[in-house]
Amino acid sequence: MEETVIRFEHVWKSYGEQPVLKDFSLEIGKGEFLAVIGRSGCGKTTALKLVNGLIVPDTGRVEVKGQDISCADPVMLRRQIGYAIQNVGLFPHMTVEKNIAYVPSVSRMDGWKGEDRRKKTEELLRQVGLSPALAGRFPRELSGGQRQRVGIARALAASPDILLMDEPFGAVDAITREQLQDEILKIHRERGLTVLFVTHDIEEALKLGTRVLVMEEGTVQQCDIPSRLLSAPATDFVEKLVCRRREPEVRM
Amino acid sequence: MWENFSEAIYLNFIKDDRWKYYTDGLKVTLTITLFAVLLGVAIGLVVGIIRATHERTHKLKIMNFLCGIYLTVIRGTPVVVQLMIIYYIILASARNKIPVAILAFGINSGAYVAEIFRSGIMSIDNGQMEAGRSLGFNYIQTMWYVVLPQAFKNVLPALCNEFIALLKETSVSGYIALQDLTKAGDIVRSRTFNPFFPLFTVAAIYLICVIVLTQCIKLLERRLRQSEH
Ligand SMILES: Nc1ncnc2c1ncn2[C@@H]1O[C@H](COP(=O)(O)OP(=O)(O)O)[C@@H](O)[C@H]1O
Ligand SMILES: [Mg+2]
Repeated sequence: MEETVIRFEHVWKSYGEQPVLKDFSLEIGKGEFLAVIGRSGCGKTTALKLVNGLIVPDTGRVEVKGQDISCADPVMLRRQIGYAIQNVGLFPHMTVEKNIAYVPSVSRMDGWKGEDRRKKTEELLRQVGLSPALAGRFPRELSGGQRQRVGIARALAASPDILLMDEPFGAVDAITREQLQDEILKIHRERGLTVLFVTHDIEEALKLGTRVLVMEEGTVQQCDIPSRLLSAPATDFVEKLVCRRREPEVRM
Repeated sequence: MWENFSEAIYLNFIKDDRWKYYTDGLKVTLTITLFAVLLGVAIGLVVGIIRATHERTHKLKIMNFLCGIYLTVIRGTPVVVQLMIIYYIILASARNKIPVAILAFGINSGAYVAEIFRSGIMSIDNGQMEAGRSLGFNYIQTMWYVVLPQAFKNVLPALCNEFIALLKETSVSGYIALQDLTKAGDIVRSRTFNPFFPLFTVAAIYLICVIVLTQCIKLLERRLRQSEH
């Protein structure tokens, strides 16, 4: 495997009495597209938030680019990590342009000053397949798919090399979903990003992931390339999961 | 009949420029209310943020504890008692009573405003905080630039109602011998020996102020709703 970018080492995390991640260990290499799949409540979002320090592990450690993130400056850390949040999380009181440009320009990041701001926003909008004419709209004036795209554009604004995506295509129709999937693959390729992509759709996981991580009740069931997930499921749970996916093909 | 009426008007308003008691009293009442609201919003904002932060993150334990005491004490005692404690005990040497009243009513109002802000902040989805922070803002920046603008819009009507409530509450200012609107009526009554006109005049002036304020709030709310569509 290539150089490791994200490493979970024996991470335990619980909310109150209830353990959410149990001895969770994982390595993600540079340029990988890791699709994370599991039932709702199995700890996928928690795992994602551990990477950019929104959540701190109870025990164990999380490393990003070789550095333990508990020692890192959270603001500097998060600028290297784009996060497309579950249910979008756009700022409703700001226009599309402001949603994308606000944080980088208030924080005086390079390339976001004055005139550059407009240009960069338009560039990002085009990259996620949106017309720059939408820059002046508010989130409530956009369709679900357009909102998702703005969310991705915003996550890319600080030019991160890691991208965390939490069920980004959950609330869109099948056709839009397919377009978005193709676009995210293109962005992954072009920018050379390392992507952690949470989904609850096995089809999507197998289509997008260079590797697929199957989680159940806070543990790693299997983490492997898609073809081996299909040919050699490690546990009954994985078996059942990919089975469900094979059925439509059988029917055809 | 008419003669009695014009005689009463003369006695209550014209003689010795008695109408001035009402206008001066109104000025005092409005001054106290306005500045007390500003002070209350400042206090309430800080306390509300601390309370909400504690609720969400379980941090700021000590500050949250102190704020809890403040809220319990202020909301558990009558405002007129608080006013007298501040005037007669804490600031016993104060010469100018208006700042004392502003302080007392501001501290009192802050406790109610704090709860307004706390619930306003809690009504904003935690995803907004996470979005701001994951983009590279720190907690305070996200609170200030992302959460508060949205929360403020939600709580603006409640804040305006607090303003109206406070306007009426300042009527106890007479307890520290401040000549506010209510006290003005009292003074005139002691001159005319007839409570009817002074009391109804004072009531009418309060009522007009509240009606005007209420209309302003309605206008504001309509504006806010329009900007949402
Ligand atoms: N802030 C929280 N407080 C208490 N429990 C939580 C919190 N966040 C998540 N949980 C619980 O932790 C478990 C895992 O949550 P999450 O990681 O969001 O799951 P997923 O994203 O896989 O659906 C769930 O049972 C959820 O109820
Ligand atoms: Mg989730």
